Amino acid sequence: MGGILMEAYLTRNDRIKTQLSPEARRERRFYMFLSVIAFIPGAFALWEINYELWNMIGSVASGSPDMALTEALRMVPLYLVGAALILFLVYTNGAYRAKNEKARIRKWLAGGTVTVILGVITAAYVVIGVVLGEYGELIEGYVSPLYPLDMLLAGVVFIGIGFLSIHYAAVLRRKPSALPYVTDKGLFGLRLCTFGCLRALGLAMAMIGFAASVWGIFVLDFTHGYLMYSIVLWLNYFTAFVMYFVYKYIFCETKPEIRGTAAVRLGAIFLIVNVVLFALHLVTVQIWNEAPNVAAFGILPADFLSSMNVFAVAYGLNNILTPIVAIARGLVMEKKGTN
Amino acid sequence: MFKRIVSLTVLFALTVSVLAGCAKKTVSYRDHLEDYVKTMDYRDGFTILQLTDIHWHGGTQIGDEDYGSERYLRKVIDEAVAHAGRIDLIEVTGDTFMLSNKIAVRSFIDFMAGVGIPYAIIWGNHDRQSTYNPNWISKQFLKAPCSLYTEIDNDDVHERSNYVINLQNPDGSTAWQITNLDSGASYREGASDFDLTYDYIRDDQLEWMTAEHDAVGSDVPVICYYHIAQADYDIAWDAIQSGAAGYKSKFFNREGFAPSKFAPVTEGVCLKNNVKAVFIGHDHADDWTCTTPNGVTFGMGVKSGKELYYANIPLGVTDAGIDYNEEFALIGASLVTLKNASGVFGLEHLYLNERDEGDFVMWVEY
Repeated sequence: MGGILMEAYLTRNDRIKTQLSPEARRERRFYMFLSVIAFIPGAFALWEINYELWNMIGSVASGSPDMALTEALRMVPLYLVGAALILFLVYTNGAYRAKNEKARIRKWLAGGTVTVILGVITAAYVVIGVVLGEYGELIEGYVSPLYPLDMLLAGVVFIGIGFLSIHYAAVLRRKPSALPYVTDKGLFGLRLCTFGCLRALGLAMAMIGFAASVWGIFVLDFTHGYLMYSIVLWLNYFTAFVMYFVYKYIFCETKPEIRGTAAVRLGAIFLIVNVVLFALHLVTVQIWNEAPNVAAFGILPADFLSSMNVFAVAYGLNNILTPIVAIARGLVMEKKGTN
Repeated sequence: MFKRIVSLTVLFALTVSVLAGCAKKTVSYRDHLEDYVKTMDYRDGFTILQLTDIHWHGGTQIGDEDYGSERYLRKVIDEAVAHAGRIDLIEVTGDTFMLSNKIAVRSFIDFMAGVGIPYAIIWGNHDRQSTYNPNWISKQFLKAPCSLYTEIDNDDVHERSNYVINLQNPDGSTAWQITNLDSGASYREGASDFDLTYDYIRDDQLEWMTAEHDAVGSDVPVICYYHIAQADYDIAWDAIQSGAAGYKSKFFNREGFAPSKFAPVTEGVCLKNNVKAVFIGHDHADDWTCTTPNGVTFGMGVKSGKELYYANIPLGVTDAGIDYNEEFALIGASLVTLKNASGVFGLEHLYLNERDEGDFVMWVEY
């Protein structure tokens, strides 16, 4: 067991570590850097969108759609910035894992163009909103201390990022990337509906889980006997992020011939850990039944709905189902001898 | 390796279990009743303005005096001051925040400091549901200008905002006692209970309330504020609907009440403690108020502002006991005036709607 995991780790991105030029390694680091700078702010943006969304759902469900509309209109820049960040994460990842140079160039070009458009709309929306009085002033200070000025600045930054992406596509036309191309099967048809959707869901859960685990450090009440509940809940969120991280930076970078085994064993580890965590979560709620509302309401934004711990339970199930899917996929890979 | 991971997981579970025992020692309210008490000077005509379910949030504009909730609340308070001549105390009865953050809390504290009227804030079910630690917001209101908020850390009284405000005569005796209770957030019986219900006033809170009342004298009249309805509201409503005699009721019930399925009937405790009236918030589309045959008034505040949701009152609602000739939103505030120290008080509801052609303002006496 240890051997295969160690091998999986050491041979991650095998094509680069053992075969690639220093220039390709630099490119790889560049893509890794891009994914980090998109993931972290994207996670917080997604969290805030998630928060606002539940408020709007509450307004609509309670018969005041006018309040939901008012809020939605004020939060448009946040949605656009969140979308731009996630788009950036997706298209840079797509370019990194492109099947050929043409596809890589196309992803930079298309992603950059849409990013410019999102940036322009964001910046224009804030400016028009301030002029028309939708925002009382350029710095109202809600959502973030500089809102909506920070959204305006983000819009300008995205315009720049978009043009740089388009420019990078042009650079790649003149001088192809040193990175190799992936040989994975593409996601089409049934695979797109299954693995594609699962990946998107996993990414969303990982991003919200990351933001929730960071917020959780400040929001969770670790006193008054809620320590155990708070730790377990925090780990539930954090594990969703860790699983995605392991998937992205270890599994996806592993030599194709050992991926099946790696998927089974990584899946088994996470399955055990997450089953224990979920069981602990249920035990702690059983013992400190008021804990979710008293100690952790801040990172359970859906809990005003009439069900128990909607978010925590959703994360518990996600954290258990994901390794099961990984194990199943790994077994199929091993059987077929494919990646 | 596999065994090691299993062992580590079990070890982790045991560690967390041990850590769970690290709670601080609980202190008893009986040992320091005086720590729950704030005092104010009493006068005949003492006025208490109740603001409730503000949902200060920012998604619909805060933080600027010209916009949104801040402008609306300022109008409500100014209108109440103009109407009553003076507001002595503002009771903010829960759900002041929801899905909010520290920026919004600070802006509310700044706003109330700017108003300059002493205020007592209590927890609603949504106030914990924001990106701050519940202990943080407690600390903010413990030190905020004009705030009378009191909370005893780790005591044996359920939840947080359980405190009283004794309105004192010049000789130091208590003329009225204002009791604030924390009716909590949600409640479940355990991990397998998916039928989440609202929290409720616990026996230890009622015992503490009785102890505080005994400390000032059993004949001192009391007004009680908390957030979520207890069973008394449904009981009174049903009794009135079935034609029971001796009740008085007024105002609107467009939503029904949302008590916990465990909520106690509190009228007996109210009578024992000379509670003249109980006022709550929570249900945005209600401001229904009744007085039982035993003389205890159970009232609902008027939602202060439109945040999250509110009720529109159409023409032709006859069972509210109010004459009105245009539709309006059920938002505003309610005003209690303590007439004298014998337990007589007045109650008025303010409906204030902002309109382009001029604000709609209506005061209705109970």
